[in-house]
Order: sequence, then structure tokens, then C-alpha cells
Amino acid sequence: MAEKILQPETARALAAFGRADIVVGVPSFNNARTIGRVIQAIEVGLQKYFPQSSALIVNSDGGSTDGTREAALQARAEDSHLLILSHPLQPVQRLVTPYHGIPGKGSAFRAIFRIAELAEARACAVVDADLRSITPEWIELLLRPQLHANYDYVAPFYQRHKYDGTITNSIVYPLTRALYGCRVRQPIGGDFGFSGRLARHYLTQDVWDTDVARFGIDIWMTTTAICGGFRVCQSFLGAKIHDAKDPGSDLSAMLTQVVGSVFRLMETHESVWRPARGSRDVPLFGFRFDVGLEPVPVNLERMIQHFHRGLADLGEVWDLVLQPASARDLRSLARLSPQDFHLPDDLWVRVIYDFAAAFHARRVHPDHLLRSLTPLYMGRVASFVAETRESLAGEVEEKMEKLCLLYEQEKPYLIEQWPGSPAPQPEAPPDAAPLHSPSASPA
Amino acid sequence: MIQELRFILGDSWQRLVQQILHLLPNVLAMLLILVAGWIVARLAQWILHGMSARLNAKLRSWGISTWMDEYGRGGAAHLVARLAFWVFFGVSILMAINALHTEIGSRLVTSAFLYMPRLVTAALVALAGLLLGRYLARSALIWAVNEGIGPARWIAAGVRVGIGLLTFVAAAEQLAVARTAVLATFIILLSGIVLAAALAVGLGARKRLEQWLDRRESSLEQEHLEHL
Repeated sequence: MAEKILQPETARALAAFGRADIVVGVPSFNNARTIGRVIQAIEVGLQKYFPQSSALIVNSDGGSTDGTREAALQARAEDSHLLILSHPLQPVQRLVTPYHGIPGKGSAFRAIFRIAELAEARACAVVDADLRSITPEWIELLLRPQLHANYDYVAPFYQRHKYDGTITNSIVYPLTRALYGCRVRQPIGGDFGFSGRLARHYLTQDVWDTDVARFGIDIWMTTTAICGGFRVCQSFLGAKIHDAKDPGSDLSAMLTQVVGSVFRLMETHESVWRPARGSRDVPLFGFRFDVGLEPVPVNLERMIQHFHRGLADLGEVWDLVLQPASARDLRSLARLSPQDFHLPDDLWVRVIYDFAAAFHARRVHPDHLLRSLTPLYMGRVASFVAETRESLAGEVEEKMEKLCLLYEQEKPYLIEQWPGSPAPQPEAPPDAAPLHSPSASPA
Repeated sequence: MIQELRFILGDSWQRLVQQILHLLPNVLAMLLILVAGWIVARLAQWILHGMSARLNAKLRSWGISTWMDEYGRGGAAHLVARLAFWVFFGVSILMAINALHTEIGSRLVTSAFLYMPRLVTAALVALAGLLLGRYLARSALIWAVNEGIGPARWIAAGVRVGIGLLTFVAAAEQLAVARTAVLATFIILLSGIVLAAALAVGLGARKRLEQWLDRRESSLEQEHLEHL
């Protein structure tokens, strides 16, 4: 299998390195501007917090042409004037490797999982290569729960502006929580920690020729960890700031990828989410502190216009997807002026559940279904922004909590509409411990 | 004279009776085949109707019923059942005509059977065109709505008409119906559309396109919403 996932020279270099207690992966594609600092932060973090452990930093690159790989190799921790009191027993090793397979973040992660397996790593972490806010403390927070508390999966917990992460806040977090009963606040955060045995479990899954290899790896990792019965926790990392993205990047495509991944996972794990009721807290590590967040300008008028365009022109698609009551309630919003525009939470929840059920029933082509959600999502964001304009962060979180509870309360509505009988229970990994069980096997 | 007339009339009547008697078994066979064909066709339709729930699920799992569900009542299975009826009944009509053993009937059946491959190909081309037109028109509609381009429905209708025209020409080509006339009409129509579109973009739409691009750029610059 190694030959299929890794290049022969990578496998040889890995054999020369030998074992590593810790593997930290950085998937990249044209991140020359930022990857050096990310590698420095990781190296300092490893030297400072895990001086006794052997460690390997892996840059899994997707064929960058801007010198990303050279930047990853040249970055040196000693350049930064840091006081590291404990001297590492072994130098942190570094490996830069192109990955095989379908181009995408998922394939890059697969190479990292394989390297972690070959190196017999006990704890692993992955961080984005375009991060600007990463500090050495992130490495400790993403790795210590596996090494010292037997956790298998560490999800990030960021301090974010109230208008940031709107797909996460309005769809992915509440839906994942209502489905699987686990309150992982940032299920698609991008920076994760995981144990060696979870890396091995990921490798055994038959998804590497699917869309998971291209996109959707983040939600797949979180959902697979939860549904596999692995011990899950969160670590507070502070603010997440990354390199500016292309402002013209297509929101519709992004929404299609993320929501499509969540809906596909619902089909895979139907037997897990169907009987689950309510939700439970997931332990949160790290010292929570307030971060000064930059204001986020939002063009409310444009969003409401987008919603109205959808209402005027996409009726033929929505009528196939939505239940008659939801479609009727949505149409009634057309009468509202932009100042009074409001998309109620309960209607939003029903819309998402209608879309999930229609996706499963293949009532409309999946791409059309998911892309037609964009105007509704814009309406939801506009409504949320208008409602929370004067609200403080705490009040916004309270509102979020109410939305999540609504998702949980309305779950029978989803089950009622979901066509077909429950799928057979996926096989749990033999060494998987029950969720949050303190008696989990050692990492 | 009267004797001769009587003989001719009698002879003609006898020949008519003989001909009718000669043809009667064939006519009866034709009617029998038609009735049997109708019964078999109805039976096939009824069976497929009875299986509609399972058939709908199967067609859905194959991913080919999504577009069919949108037509008529009963979903894709209803459409398949009706199609099965007409296929069975159509074949029985041809068999019935053949049972008459007439020259015209034989020629008609032979022509129909020789024409069948062309007919099937044309039907497949039409079906593919319908599917493609529908898919692309809907894709264009959703894209135009999400990109904020004003006449989204018009764009979708344009795509549907364009694909429909192409399909019509391709199907007519398969059926060998007025090939030259259809092709010439299509080329004239297409040239007209291209010319009209070029003039529209050159004269009026360019300004609107510029305005739309400016608006889009400025709204993206104003907004720094992080969706994920």
C-alpha cells in the first residue's frame, strides 16, 4: 500500500528516519508566502513542549510552482529569537513529499496518515499551510490530549468574529451536532490533532477515490472519528487568520462541496444518526481568552437581493426539493421589505432537512440541488446579520445555541422524510473505545 | 343480353364472396392479434404500474428518474409503463397488418421494420437532447441566479431552445427527413442568433456587462465574510 500512496524516495527517506512519536503534517499548494512561518511555529512548538519525543514534520505538497517546497525545507526555527529552555533529545526531522492520487487536500492528508502509520506515531496533527496566526502553543494544544489524556481526535476551537464561519454556524455545526449528538464547535476547522490508531483507521476507509480525496476531508475526519466511537475533544486555539483568499472564489461551489460532503456522510452513517437523540458536550482544553477581532464588513442589501432572485427564478427546483409548507413559508418572505427581512430559524432548519432528504432521494440532480441552496443561505446570513447587528459575542452564542436546539427538536421531521430503511451498522474498529470513555485503550 | 348480365353479376358476386372468404381468416387473425396485443400491452402496463413503487426506487437509484419524476403523475414508473404499452401495442399493430398477407401490408411492415433502427436512433437522440437541454438549462438558470445576472430565466430558455434545435436537426438527420431543408434552416437560424447576440453584446449588453462586473468587484471588495 505504501508504494501506492507514497513515492518510493519518500518511503526510503522515512525508513532512514525510523520511528517518530509525533508526526505533524502540513498540506500545501502554492503557499510559499506563509509555509515557512508555519513550519517554524511547528518546530518551536515541538522543541518547547515535546523535547523528549522524536518528531517528524511532513509537508505533503500538491505540486506547487511558487517554491513552497523549498520554503518548507529552508525555514529554520533558530531564526526566531526564542528562549527554549528544554533542549530536545533529537532534532525534529523534516520531510517534503508530493502526494499521489486525485489532486486535493484529502490525498495530501492520506499521505500524512500513511507516513504516521509507517513511523508508528502515537500522536499526529495537521495544520493549514496558509496560517498567519499559528503559534507554537497550537502544537501543544493539538497533540497533548492524545499523548497525555488518551484522546483520539482533537478538533480546533477558534475565537471568531460573529459573522465569520457562517456555513459552519448555520449548517455544519448545528446539523452535525443534531445528527451525531456531539458538540464539536468547529467540525471543519482545518487544523486537527489525532492519534496514531485513528490515522490507521482513516487509512482503512474506502474513500480515497471519492470526493473525500478532493475536498470535504475535514468534515469526513470529524464525522468518522465520532461515528467510529473514538474519543473526541477540542482545543482552544485563539483566532484563526490565514492568507487572503481570492475574493472572487465561488461561494456556490464552496457551499456545494461542504454541504454535499455532510449530506453524503449522512447517507453513510444513517444507522448512527437515526437513533441518536439530543447532544452532549465535548471536553474543551486550553485557556480561553478574548481576542481582538477585526470588524467584518457585510453587504446586507446584496444578500437579500440574491435571496429574492432565487425566490423569483428557482421555484421550479425548490418545489421539487422542499415540502409544500416550507415552500409556502419561503414565498411569504417575498412580501417583506429589505428592512423587515427575516428568515425564521425554524423555517431555516426545515429547509436544511428538506434539502438533506431530497438529496438522499435524488429528487433533483445533486449539483443543482446544492447550488440552488445558495440564495437561501444568503437569505439566512442576511437575516442573522440583521438580527445580531447590535449583539455581543455572548448573545450571538446564545442565539446559536437556540438554533442548535431547534435542529435537535426538529430531527424527527428529518427522519419522517428520509426515504428508505436504516443502512447496516458500519463496522467499528476493533480497538475503538466508546465515545468519551475514560477507559480507552492507551494511545 | 339479360342472361349475360345476370351471369356477369353472379360471377362478380361469387368472386367477391370467394375473396372475402379467402381474406376472412386473415382479417379475423388480424383482429385477434390486435385484441391479444392490446391485452398484452395493457397487462405489461398494469404489471409495471403495480411495481411502480419498487420501479421508481430502482430508477432513482440508477439516477435516471430524476428528470422523469417531473413529468406527469406517478413518477418515472408511470412513464415507463405507458412506454411499454405503446411498444407492445405498436408491435402488435405491425403483426396484425402483416397477417392480412396483402402486398401493401407486407411492404408497409417491411418498410416499418427497415425504418425501425433509424426511428430508434432518432428517439434516442431526442431523449438525449431532452435530458441534456434540461440539465444545461437548469445549470444555466442556477448559475445566472447565483451570479446575479438579471434575466436568468431568459438565459435558461435560450439554452433550452439552442439544445432543442440541435437535437431536432440531429434527429431529422437520423430519420432522413428533408435533410437539406432542415440543415439549411438550422444554419440560417443559428447564424441569425449569433449575429443578433453579437450585435446585442456590441451595442447594449456590453455596457450592462461592464456594470455587472464593476458591481460584482466592488461588492466583493466591500465584503470580507469568511463562510467556512
